[in-house]
Amino acid sequence: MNDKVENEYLDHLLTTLHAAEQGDLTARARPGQGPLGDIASALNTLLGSLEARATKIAFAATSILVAMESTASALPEIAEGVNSQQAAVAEIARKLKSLEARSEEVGQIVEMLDDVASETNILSLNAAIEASRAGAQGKGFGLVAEEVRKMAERAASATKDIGAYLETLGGATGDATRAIESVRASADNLALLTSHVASDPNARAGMRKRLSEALGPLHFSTQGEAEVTKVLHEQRGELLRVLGPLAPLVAETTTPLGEALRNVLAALGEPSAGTKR
Amino acid sequence: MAATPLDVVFFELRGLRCALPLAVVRKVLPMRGVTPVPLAPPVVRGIAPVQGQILPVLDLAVCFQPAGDDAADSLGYRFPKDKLLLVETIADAGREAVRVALAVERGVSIGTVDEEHSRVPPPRPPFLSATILDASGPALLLDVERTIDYVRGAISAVITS
Repeated sequence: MNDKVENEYLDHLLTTLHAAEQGDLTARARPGQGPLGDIASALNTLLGSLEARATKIAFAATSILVAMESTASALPEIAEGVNSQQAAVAEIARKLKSLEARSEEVGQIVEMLDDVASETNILSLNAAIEASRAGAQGKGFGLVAEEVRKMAERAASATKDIGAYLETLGGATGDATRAIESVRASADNLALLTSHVASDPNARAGMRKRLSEALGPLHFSTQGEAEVTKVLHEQRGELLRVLGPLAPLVAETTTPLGEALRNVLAALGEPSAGTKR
Repeated sequence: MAATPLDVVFFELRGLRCALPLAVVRKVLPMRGVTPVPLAPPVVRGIAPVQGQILPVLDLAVCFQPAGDDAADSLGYRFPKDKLLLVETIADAGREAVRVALAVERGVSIGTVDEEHSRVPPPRPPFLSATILDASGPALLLDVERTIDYVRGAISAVITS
């Protein structure tokens, strides 16, 4: 190889390197001879490896974008669901607090009944004492007083049982209130987070832009792009194979799950999937 | 010994079943507003307004505690559901009627026992008149006159010591 040919070949190598620097990973050096030919061969190997890796990265990024888009489209529904759950949890907490307050009120009534039973017991004892003093004339009255005393004892025993039940109920209600308060705090946080993500399209758009900017300058061979498209097509086909039979079932349903499935099927291009609102 | 038949009021003192003749029990009252009396012997729990009168409230349970128990412990002991028995001795030619309130535990009831079911009481405390028996089991019958004499003696001992 004379000097002129060598210079031309060197220019060609530099042009190839420059193209690769600009993001064209499909550029390759012509095969050459001698040490420059060896360099060209190594450069081609390096560029091939880089292209393969970049293709994989692009595939992963595209998958992320697809997943992000499908999540983003579901976000309003998720936010709505979280909000309604948050409201339901708040309602349960309110009702539990009300139940706790009512339990305390019932406890006070039971205490009053216990006092009444105790007073009745004492009254019946005094009646029995007076009846005994009256001798034979007081015998009938004494029997009545004894019955009243037994009734008061039964009432006292019943109020004691109710008091014990109320104590157990109060403990359980307190535990449930504390648990639901904890759930409510979690639901509040989740609702805040979801509404923030759902109401901030800039965050999602920014992520998409950054991914596009990172991948934009890279130029792959059609073979790499075709591979990505093929895999995505296969995944879509697999999803349709699994979810397709459900299309007739969810066509008329109005449940949130049914609607979500209809939306997914419509996004996949299932012709029988209609949106029912 | 108890006369035949004898109406009695049963009650408990620290779980021990006791009885008093119905003739000396005027009323059963809820335990309210007992004021402790400084330097009083343990058997006097305090004083309380009972039907317009200030009466001593006796805690005879301290007389049934096992030997060696610190009397001070009994001062801290309070029944969960106390009642007061308003007791009045029967006046005779030599003595005036005396009214005291007796602190008793739950299980106050009225019954009748006869001499056939009466036995000699334990030697202590000294104010027991008989061991009686009814369908619910044995009970120690208290002699109210001797009880009041016992309390008077305890108070005198505190004053003279």
